[in-house]
Amino acid sequence: MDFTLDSHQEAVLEAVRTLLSRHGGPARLHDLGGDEPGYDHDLDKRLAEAGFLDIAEPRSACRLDAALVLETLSGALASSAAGWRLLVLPTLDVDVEGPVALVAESHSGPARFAADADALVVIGDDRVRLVRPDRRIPRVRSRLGWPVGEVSGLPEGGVIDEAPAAEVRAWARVALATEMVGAMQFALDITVRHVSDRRQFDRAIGSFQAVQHGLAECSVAVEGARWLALEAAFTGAASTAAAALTQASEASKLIFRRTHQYHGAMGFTREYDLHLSTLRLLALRSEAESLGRPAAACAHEHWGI
Amino acid sequence: MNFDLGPELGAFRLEVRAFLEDFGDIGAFFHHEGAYDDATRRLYLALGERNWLALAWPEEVGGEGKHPLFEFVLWDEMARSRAARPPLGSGIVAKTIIRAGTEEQKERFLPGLRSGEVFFSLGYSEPEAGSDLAGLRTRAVRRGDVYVVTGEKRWTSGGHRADYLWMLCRTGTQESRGRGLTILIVDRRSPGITVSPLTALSGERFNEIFFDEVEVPVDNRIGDENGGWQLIGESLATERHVQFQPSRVRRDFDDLVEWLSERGLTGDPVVRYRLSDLAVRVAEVEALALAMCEAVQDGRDAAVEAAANKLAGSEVAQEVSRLAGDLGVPDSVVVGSQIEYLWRQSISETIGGGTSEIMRGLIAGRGLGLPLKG
Ligand SMILES: Cc1cc2nc3c(=O)[nH]c(=O)nc-3n(C[C@H](O)[C@H](O)[C@H](O)COP(=O)(O)OP(=O)(O)OC[C@H]3O[C@@H](n4cnc5c(N)ncnc54)[C@H](O)[C@@H]3O)c2cc1C
Repeated sequence: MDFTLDSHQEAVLEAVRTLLSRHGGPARLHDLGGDEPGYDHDLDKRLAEAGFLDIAEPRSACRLDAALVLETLSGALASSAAGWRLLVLPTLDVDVEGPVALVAESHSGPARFAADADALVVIGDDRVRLVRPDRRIPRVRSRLGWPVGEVSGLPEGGVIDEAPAAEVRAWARVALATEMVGAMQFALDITVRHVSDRRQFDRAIGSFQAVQHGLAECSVAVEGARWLALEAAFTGAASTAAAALTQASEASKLIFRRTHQYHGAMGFTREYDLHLSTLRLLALRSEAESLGRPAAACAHEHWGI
Repeated sequence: MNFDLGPELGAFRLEVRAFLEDFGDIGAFFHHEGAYDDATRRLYLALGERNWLALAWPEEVGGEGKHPLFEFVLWDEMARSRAARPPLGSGIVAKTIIRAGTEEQKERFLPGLRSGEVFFSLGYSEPEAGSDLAGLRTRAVRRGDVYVVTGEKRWTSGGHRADYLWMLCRTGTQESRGRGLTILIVDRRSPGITVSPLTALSGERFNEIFFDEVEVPVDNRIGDENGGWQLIGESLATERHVQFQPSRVRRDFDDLVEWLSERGLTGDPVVRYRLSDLAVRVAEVEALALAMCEAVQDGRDAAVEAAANKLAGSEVAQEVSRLAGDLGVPDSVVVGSQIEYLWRQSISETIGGGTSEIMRGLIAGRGLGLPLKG
């Protein structure tokens, strides 16, 4: 067992961070529209050129490196569907150039990236389809920090031969859990900075024990979610994927409540960066549920209930 | 023991409901983008016509002389129909002027407040002073018969459309904290005032207001110089019963249940379980509001009861608004869905008007008598 990054992983993440410091981060998301952003095609292009988007081998069981890249992207608030490409596409033998969206077969309604995607991965009970919509899927207004499209009446066909639906679903869960971890870490970091700097009653508000305990619990919740998500990416086990997503979803509720609370009115403004990460968590959680309730999936994978 | 507000207040509640039928969906309880429009003004003027903005003012200054619980019922019904929130002007401002103002100030300000024509914003918070209000820095220096005000106020709701700002300013030294603060009424159109917008996640407009040597007549000082802290403490005490309306939570909950049933989700056992848990919390909020009303009715200092009412009410409002998202109902992420709006808006309820941490501190200290230091 070893929870530290090896030198190759260090180097990859350092390179990704360098790229993001120029082309990602909250300033970039503000440029793209803030909590109602457009899709960051430019970032995708740069990531693809540098080879960061196909870091996991096709059909590989361990996608840890890809998950580490995704966590970094999410922590820099990338407006990109790289998560599906990094963690889900390696299971499917398909060739798609641009962004992909991912929805459950039964889903109709808003879906992240659907309006920008060249193709949609549609997960059914026992089959997976790759749908290339014949017309652009309409955009829908959402203020939760992601570009969103309104999916309805997708065309038939596009069934991918021998694609294991359960496995695809599991990797989608790993991707969502990992994205939640990145967004939660962003929210936690900015809050720790805020309560260290902000002074009331002649002391930093982070010196109040109520605030310290609250943030300590947040930190434990994010760490737990992180290690579970990375473990799931390491083993590819469906049960760990379901557990990781359940834990990340629960943690995200706590992170949302506390980080906003400790910011006071400041966190309630669109000019400040906190909401760019916290509002995203709602969309991710909603998507997690649409793939089948994570806690129920967890019980099913572990104990067959 | 008796858990009923009594026949008189019950009848008044029905009267308010009938009155509100004419006003449909104004929606100014939440300050949506553009929601504060002519319809809202008409509502306040209509309230003024009935003298309902002065329900609990004494009769000698034009009020109805009713018990404060009439105000509770009025604003609780306004919250249920989402029509509007209690205006600062006829509450804190008017009641403080009635208690501590001069005869001239009463004549100058009370008629406009009673009729709903004049609008006040609250200028307390500053960049460096939120929970710790006694640390505020906006300075008022006496020069002859004016105060010269310099500094910055922040988070001023409605400050861009207000006629007047109800300001707490520093007249003593910074070290004198609460002992060096004075209340001034500042005409928002005075030279030297710049108002710039900040956008809240709810779409509401906050403001930053900058004061550059703004001259304010000494006649606009309420109470004594350096006597402001005590006055705002007393004014909070007169407004506790309208600080947080339990019917807001009831309405949000009813809407949530309807929204989920329209989507065919209320048969799901997990949804039913979560809703029944929430229903109990809503009942708890209503019970705590009654306990607060009982203390007010008795004329007791209701500080602890009001803090419990605000703490539980605002936290449950958040739980209600977050359930749809927690359940992963896809429409809950779309702009224009009511549920998504509530989800964003309710973030502020545990912050504005005193944060949950300040409420907990008050309950621990004054309610439980816990010491500040070992
Ligand atoms: C919707 C809205 C409308 C508002 N309208 C107005 C207005 O019209 N006029 C006006 O003057 N102000 C207004 N405010 C400002 C409001 O009064 C302040 O936001 C509030 O007093 C908190 O101050 P702050 O935001 O600076 O948070 P801070 O005081 O910086 O507190 C941030 C967080 O620190 C923690 N904290 C602070 N002190 C303690 C403590 N003693 N113990 C434990 N934890 C603590 C809490 O978690 C708190 O939430 C409004 C605010 C909101 C959200």
